[in-house]
Amino acid sequence: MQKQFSATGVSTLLLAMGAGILLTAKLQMNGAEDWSGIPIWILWAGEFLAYLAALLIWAPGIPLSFLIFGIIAVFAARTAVAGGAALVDSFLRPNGEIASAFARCFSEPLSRACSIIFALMAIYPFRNLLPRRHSPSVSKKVPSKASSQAYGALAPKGGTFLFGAPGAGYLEGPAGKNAFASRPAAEAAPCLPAHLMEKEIAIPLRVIFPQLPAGVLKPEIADRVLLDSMQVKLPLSLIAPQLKEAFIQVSVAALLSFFPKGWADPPMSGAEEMIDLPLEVVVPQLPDEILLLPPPSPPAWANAVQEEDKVLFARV
Amino acid sequence: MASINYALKEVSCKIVYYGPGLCGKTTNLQFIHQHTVPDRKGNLVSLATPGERTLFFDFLPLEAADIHGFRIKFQLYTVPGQVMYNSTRKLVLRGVDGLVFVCDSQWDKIREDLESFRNLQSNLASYGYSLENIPYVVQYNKRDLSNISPMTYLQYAINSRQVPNFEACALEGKNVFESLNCVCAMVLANLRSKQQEGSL
Repeated sequence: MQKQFSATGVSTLLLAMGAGILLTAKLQMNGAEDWSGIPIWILWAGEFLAYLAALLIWAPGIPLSFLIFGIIAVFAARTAVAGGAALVDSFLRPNGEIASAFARCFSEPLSRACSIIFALMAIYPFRNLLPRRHSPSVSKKVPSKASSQAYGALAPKGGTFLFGAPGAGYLEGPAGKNAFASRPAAEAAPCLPAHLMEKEIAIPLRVIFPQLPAGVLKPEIADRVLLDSMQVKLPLSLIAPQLKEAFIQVSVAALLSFFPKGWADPPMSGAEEMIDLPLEVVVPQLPDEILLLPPPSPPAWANAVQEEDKVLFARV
Repeated sequence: MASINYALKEVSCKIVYYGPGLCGKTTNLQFIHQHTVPDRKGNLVSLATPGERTLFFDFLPLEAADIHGFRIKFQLYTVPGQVMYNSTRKLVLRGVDGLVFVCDSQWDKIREDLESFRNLQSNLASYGYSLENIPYVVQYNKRDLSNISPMTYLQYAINSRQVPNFEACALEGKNVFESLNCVCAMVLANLRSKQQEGSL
């Protein structure tokens, strides 16, 4: 919700209101209009219908309570435009009175229409505050990944503002999130085969010792930390899901649970801190099949190379 | 996207070298510039800081051998790898025809490689492009160093699509031209298939 109250939206509101006030005042000062034939109830009905139509277009399926709230908001904006125009009119016209100028905004159809139009323009950037129901036909549509990414890249976040900073509002919303998803689903780490669930990776204590909270290791263990034999064995199932990230981390608490008995005391603090496991220690111990990729399925452009194109540039 | 001038019989394509900071993108271009015949290359334009970090981008125009009577021109660009220059990277990607994703093979750089690859995907998505449609190769650079990851893990982490990939050492020029030729050939093949489909 807060996003809708952007500087762009507020400046659009102020500009529309300002322009509305000036134009309405100008129309009033141009002289009396001869619209006396139109009954006043038609003007009110037309005004109400204009509000209703705008709100229903902006927020299809809007609940009744919000519809009433919307009508009140637009009417308040329109009254503000009329009031501003009356103020300008009374200043510029000799012997002008605010009250009579204000009344003209409700009686003269042209200045009335002008104030209504500019009030709608002023409220337009805030239309997304209104709740709306999704139509079934829209929710059934399943956009392709490419189209959703393209949409995410191009769709403004709150609809079309009348004025906006360059580049503002891009890559928001669910489609935008798709475009920025950390990785495509196809690239997610594969499940670990059953026979590898028991496999362990040995981490020398010396490579993780500097990251452990102070005082966790018992003194007699800390004295022997540089020995190669001092290792912690971690299950492959803990490490494998992180391999695709090229960054393996284990919490202190989880790591200590794999320490041999009598090596460490429970940490006084920092049990949730993460310890980095160096890739150069982990990867060489991985079974070959973990890093096997599925049969290649390169895109069409990778296979369509012609023989004559293969050497375009030669080293001299 | 590639421009084809039928009057001049000229095809112009844009290749971007993308990757994390200090992975060797500029080194690739420098090597190509130093080892290309003079009449087929333009000047290498490079805007770098004193610490040899690319500030904006590098640019190298190249002209390939004629194919079916058409002069084929490639414009090679690099992007600044540093995280803070994303808007420049995005700008350089506009209208890209092919990509060379340059990785640093060192253990402690793989995460940066991966982040850069995801950044590439999201920047392409912001233009409505996708790696499904843009030919690219993966170049595993710095293979001459000692603290490097095996290829199996790099492929697993970065190139799960298994597009053409090269073990390279840009400083010595190992597989630099091979990477370039491969991506250029795929770009031309892609253009050809688009032309046959009538979408170009």
